[in-house]
Amino acid sequence: MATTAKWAELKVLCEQAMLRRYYIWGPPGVGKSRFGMDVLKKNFENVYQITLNDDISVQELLGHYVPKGNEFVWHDGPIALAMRDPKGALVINELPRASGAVRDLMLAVLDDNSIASIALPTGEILKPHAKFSVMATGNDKPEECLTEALIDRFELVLHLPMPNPELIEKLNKVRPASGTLVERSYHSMTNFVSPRKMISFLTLTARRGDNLTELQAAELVFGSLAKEVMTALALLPTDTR
Amino acid sequence: MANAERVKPLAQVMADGIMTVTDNSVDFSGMIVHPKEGPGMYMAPLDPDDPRAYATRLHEYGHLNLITSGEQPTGLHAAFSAAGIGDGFLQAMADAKVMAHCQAKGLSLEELIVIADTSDSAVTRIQAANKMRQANLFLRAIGTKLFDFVAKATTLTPKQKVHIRDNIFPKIEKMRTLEDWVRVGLEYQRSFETPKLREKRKEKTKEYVPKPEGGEGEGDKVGGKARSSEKKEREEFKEIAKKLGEKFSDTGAKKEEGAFKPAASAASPMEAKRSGMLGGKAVSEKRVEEEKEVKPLDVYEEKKAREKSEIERMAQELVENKEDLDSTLADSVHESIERTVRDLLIQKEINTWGAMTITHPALERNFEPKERSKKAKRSFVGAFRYPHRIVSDSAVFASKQHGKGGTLVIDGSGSMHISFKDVCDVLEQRPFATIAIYASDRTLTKGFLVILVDRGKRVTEKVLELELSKLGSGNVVDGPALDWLCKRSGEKFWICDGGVTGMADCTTGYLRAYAALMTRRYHIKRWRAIKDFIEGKSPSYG
Repeated sequence: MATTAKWAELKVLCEQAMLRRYYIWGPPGVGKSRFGMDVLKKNFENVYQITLNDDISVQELLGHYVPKGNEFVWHDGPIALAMRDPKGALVINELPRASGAVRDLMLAVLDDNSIASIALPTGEILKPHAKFSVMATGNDKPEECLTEALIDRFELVLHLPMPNPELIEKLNKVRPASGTLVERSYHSMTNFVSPRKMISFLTLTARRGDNLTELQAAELVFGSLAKEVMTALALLPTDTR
Repeated sequence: MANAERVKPLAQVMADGIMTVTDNSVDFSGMIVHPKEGPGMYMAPLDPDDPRAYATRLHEYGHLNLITSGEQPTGLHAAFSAAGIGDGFLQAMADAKVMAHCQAKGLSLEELIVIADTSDSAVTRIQAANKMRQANLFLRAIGTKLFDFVAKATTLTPKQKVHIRDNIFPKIEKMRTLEDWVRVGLEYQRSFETPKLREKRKEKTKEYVPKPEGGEGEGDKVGGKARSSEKKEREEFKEIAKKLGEKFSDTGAKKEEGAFKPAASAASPMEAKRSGMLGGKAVSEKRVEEEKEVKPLDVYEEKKAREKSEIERMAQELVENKEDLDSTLADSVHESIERTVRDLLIQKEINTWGAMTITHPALERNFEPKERSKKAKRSFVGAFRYPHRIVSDSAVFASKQHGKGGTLVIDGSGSMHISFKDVCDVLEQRPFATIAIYASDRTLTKGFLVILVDRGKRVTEKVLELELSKLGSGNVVDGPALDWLCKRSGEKFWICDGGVTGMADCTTGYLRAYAALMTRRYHIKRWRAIKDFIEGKSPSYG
């Protein structure tokens, strides 16, 4: 079930619901991973994090042999570590970018805790601890980038299309209209100013000496978008939100 | 700092809504459609370094910002049209408002002034000499701030200029509601009247001829003595403006008009009944009643529906009789029909995509084994191939690489100037799992999408030549081709110059907006030219 409820309410809901498998999707920079980490850290002491791409292999995630002295020894990957750790949970960033083999592995990792098991090359059968939880994130709608089998394994699908409103308010306090700019820029899926970039710009402008103008600071952070950002900051109403 | 090829404007920030961005030549000005008034569109030059391009972008930002903030109400075109005020005055007032707004926000005069170079020859001359300071002084000296090019300073008499400076512009800066805009618009238009036009207006609307005060007979001069009937006019105007407000305010306009309509066409039914109004004289109550009776908007809708069905019928006939057309009609007849349909479609701003047929020619050539083989990748399992990596990341094994997926669609229309060799080069690079090319047929009513590469097999050069020869010169089926692309799994790529068209190879804002929305929604990466792709340049989104 997808929902677009407010951030704070969502966070509380996720913390209290204690569901085991979430998929969070939305444009880059809105804070999906941060959201996942915050929710999991409420209930788990050790939150492991992996970021997937096409080149990451199953062995890197699950574990592999590494040479040590005159012999090869088994080395647990982050997934195996999280599954073993009784206080561990897992955040998987950019799930849709994973290779086919890694996605197939995820079918096993995201299965119900009671029946999930993975056979390691060591001969061991790895089973997750009873409360093992996973938060996966991605930029695209799950129906467009994941298989039905994988989607079905998520108990809750959350859509975060806009940055955290609290962050927007904080940005507006530091520099009037900067938060509004960030928020409104997310009307475009391809041309947005992320909170991360805006924070970098505000930090740079706060620390810049006499040798650096505001426009130069903007050019360093936003590149060719600098003039557009500066114009928007000038034109946007400062009392919005 | 390295500049990107084109600037990505933040139109969505100013409009607070979804916007389609279109690049424009720096020689033309920009245009916008605010999301409140229709599918959001921002058209401006996106050159990163040209100050004129930035000035135009800034100006269009200003328009968007004013509408978003409510200082420029929606439904202005219809209200101005009903009040008998020319479109030019609305544009000039909106521009003036933008200038004032930008200046009030502290944006530099130098940036704004660049716009003047296409509007006022005097400023242009000074700027041409690269004397920006003098240009600023000139603008201030004539006492109109930046409004001189709005008021076309060189065409006005000194008295008119003074009147505009002292009476009109301060009002433009303050106007907010629809009534404000119409009232100032009427006043503004009147200040431009020549004595001849004024006489005509007096004759036609005698009840409004101001009586001269003090026996001088100069009561109607711009900036001249006060009119004796001014109070009466003002009261009448208030009543009319109230009615206009009800009719064309946000909610009123939506109720009656539904979707966004071009301003020019919205004006037409009113113009037909406006014979008694000249020079922006306020409409009388009688006239308002007459307009109520004829229901101009209904008439307009009916007329538009008739025209649309006529065009659709013609287009349908073309599609249905395509075979006959191909075999019997000479090229000149084709051209004539195309021209007629094209003119109709362009005039009416309505069009649809053509029907698309997907062609699957025989993919008889396998990629050479050497081509297919891929370099093994370092890994932690597989063949023991990279012992030297033991000292770095320990990935001493090698695993087989799988080919990348993804689909590439090529716009094969005439504007792309794609040669047989170009397509061969792309196929040789064989970058994606599936490659297809599309274009219209020769009647420009439908088109083909030809699959050239799929699942490791490609067409032979002979088949490729044959298939390419069947393609026509138009696009026509960009939309269906994009629909097909979007249904494919994996990454999506498109080589297209952005000139998307529908039936009869003509385009409308809606077709462009559709293509832009699809590319954005499905993260399609696009190259503008096939050469860019072959040379390995980076694609851009949308």
